[in-house]
Amino acid sequence: MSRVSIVRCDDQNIKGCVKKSIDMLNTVSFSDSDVVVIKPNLCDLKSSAKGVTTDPRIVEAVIDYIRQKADPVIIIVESDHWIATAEEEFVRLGYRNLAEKLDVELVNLSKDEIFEIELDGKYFKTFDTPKTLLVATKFISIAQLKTHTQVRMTCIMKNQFGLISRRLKSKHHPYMSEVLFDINKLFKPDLCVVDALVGMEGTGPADGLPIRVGLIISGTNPVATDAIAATIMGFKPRSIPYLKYAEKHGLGSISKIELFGEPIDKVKQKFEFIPWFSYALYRMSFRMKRVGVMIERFFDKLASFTDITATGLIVLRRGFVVGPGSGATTLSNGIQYIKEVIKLFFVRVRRGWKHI
Amino acid sequence: MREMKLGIIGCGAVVELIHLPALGRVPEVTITSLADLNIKRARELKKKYGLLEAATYDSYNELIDSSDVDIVLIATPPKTHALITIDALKANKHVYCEKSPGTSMEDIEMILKATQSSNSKFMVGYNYRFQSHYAKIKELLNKGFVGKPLISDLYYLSDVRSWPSVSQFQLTPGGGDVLLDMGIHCVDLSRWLFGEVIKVYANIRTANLNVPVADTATVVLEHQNGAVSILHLSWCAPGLNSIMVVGTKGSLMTSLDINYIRASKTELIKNRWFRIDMKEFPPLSSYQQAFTHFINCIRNEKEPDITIQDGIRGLQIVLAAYESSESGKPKNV
Repeated sequence: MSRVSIVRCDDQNIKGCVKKSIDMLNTVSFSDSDVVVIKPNLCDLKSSAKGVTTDPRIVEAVIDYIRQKADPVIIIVESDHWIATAEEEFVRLGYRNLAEKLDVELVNLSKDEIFEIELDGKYFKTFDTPKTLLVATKFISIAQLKTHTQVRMTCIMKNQFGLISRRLKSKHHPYMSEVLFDINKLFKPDLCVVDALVGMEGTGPADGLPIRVGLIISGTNPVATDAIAATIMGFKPRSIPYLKYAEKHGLGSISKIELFGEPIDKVKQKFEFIPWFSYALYRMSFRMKRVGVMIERFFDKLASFTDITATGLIVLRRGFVVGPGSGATTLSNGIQYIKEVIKLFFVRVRRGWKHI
Repeated sequence: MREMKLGIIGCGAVVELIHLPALGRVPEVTITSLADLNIKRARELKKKYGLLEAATYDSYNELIDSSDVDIVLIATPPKTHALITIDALKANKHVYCEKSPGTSMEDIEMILKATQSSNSKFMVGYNYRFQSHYAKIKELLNKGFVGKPLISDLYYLSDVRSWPSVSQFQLTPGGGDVLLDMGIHCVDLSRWLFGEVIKVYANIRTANLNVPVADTATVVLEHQNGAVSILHLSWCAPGLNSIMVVGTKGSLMTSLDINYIRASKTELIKNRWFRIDMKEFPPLSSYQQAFTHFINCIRNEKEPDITIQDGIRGLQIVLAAYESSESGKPKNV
């Protein structure tokens, strides 16, 4: 069962609250040989006081906690966004100063060495992965608690969207559930910490209004942590599309959670959200884009088939064609190919399509 | 610079389906002659590929004696390679000889003498060295990507029944078999990628087809640097050319039907397979690239990268593999 803790927190004792929150989980350990990668949410140049980005004081408190246990290499990471580069965000949101003060590294994932990892996921067949993430032994996600006009809320799972190294990431938006499942499965956080000192309601994730929450939420599973965060915001966790999807595919549980600290009913709030018809239209626009891509793929395949048929007809008439790489294609190649296709078809009919 | 004149000896399936399409993209040469014992085949290919000015012969001697030929491509069955090569070199023609340059060490030694006393260029058609996937593997090995190579697995599988050979020479004793006709490419690739071979162990047999030659072979090569290559060869499987290399710092694998190399590095904690893209390579045939290399060597008076010494070592290793398979013991080579 996943563990999640809720601790009330004010500006005066952030380190103590973070420590208490992580200690309640009683499952996270660190060693000197670890390489710990921390991913805050720095998706914009708006500060934590506006409820948009992760408060550097929370990150400092987590680093302080780690250093009390061991002395591993610690790296804070972020990628370039549409609004700004990771370097600009590091400097202007206080992370450069933090890194110098605590002697930790800052890495812009968009400028890191990239490895095209084979994933065969729900969305990504391969994932362009920055090297820093591949050498990490521990991964900590420190997210902001915000509404999101397109997917209702953004917290731990959505924070990992920033692990996509390319700057323009919006083409993945219509597939958010699959994308977040794939990334969170590949880089499942060892520790999730939610900066819920000041959240955001309304037209999040950047244009909403700050809302005072005064909590630190920690967890060991991104689905469970987000489920508790959603409940605190006043949303039903299964109304968050990517949480429902992640639970369905086994990334974590929304209901089987061992909760520590504050009782959830005492800290629940009611975050304002956008009008239901706007949200419905955003969801519809995603569906339309997905249908558009499906149609395009269908016609791509149809065009390829038509192209091959045209070539086949030339071979029938002329006896052969010459391609750039593999020599001549002859009638006998074609007949061999057709035989293979027919054989495969009958094998499938005999054994059933699913078992091939 | 003037175009070079090429004569082709042997008009079998490999010339029809591979060489002629590839040579169509070597603009530096003009095919001026075709020779085959069956002159109808030569005429058929002349017509099929629109070689309007090409002469056709039923004897290779006539082609070699022609003043309209600078380079000879020998694509006859391997047991004839030595004789034709020696005659062509004596006639001062440059020779591109399909593998293997001979079927016995006597053949090879005769070719060696002929190349030493000739000013013409000679190259063995180990075209797989020019295949972009293997070239990329070589580049990565040279850069130290896998560290010290430890193990390599090379698969070369095909279904010989689907190859439209005219003479079926591969399936007759002495004409070649799955190792001499096809696996010799892997022997050469292993030497090229991992260095000289010092010991061979092999199991070569007729396992599937009703033919008098071996259709299945497993050959284990021990390299001087300690790496071990295992060659898996079959004439009874769907086509597959693939390689896997495991080293002290990483691994590489690819096959010719995908346009990337799969790689891993031990320094990565999440040590998963990632892809190295091959899209920057033009999709040109390795035969085209090998021939272009040979033409450039002739023009620039340089020795080709593949020499008679490579032919000698390739055949020595193959002959040692036969001995090993017979005796059941490893053989130093």
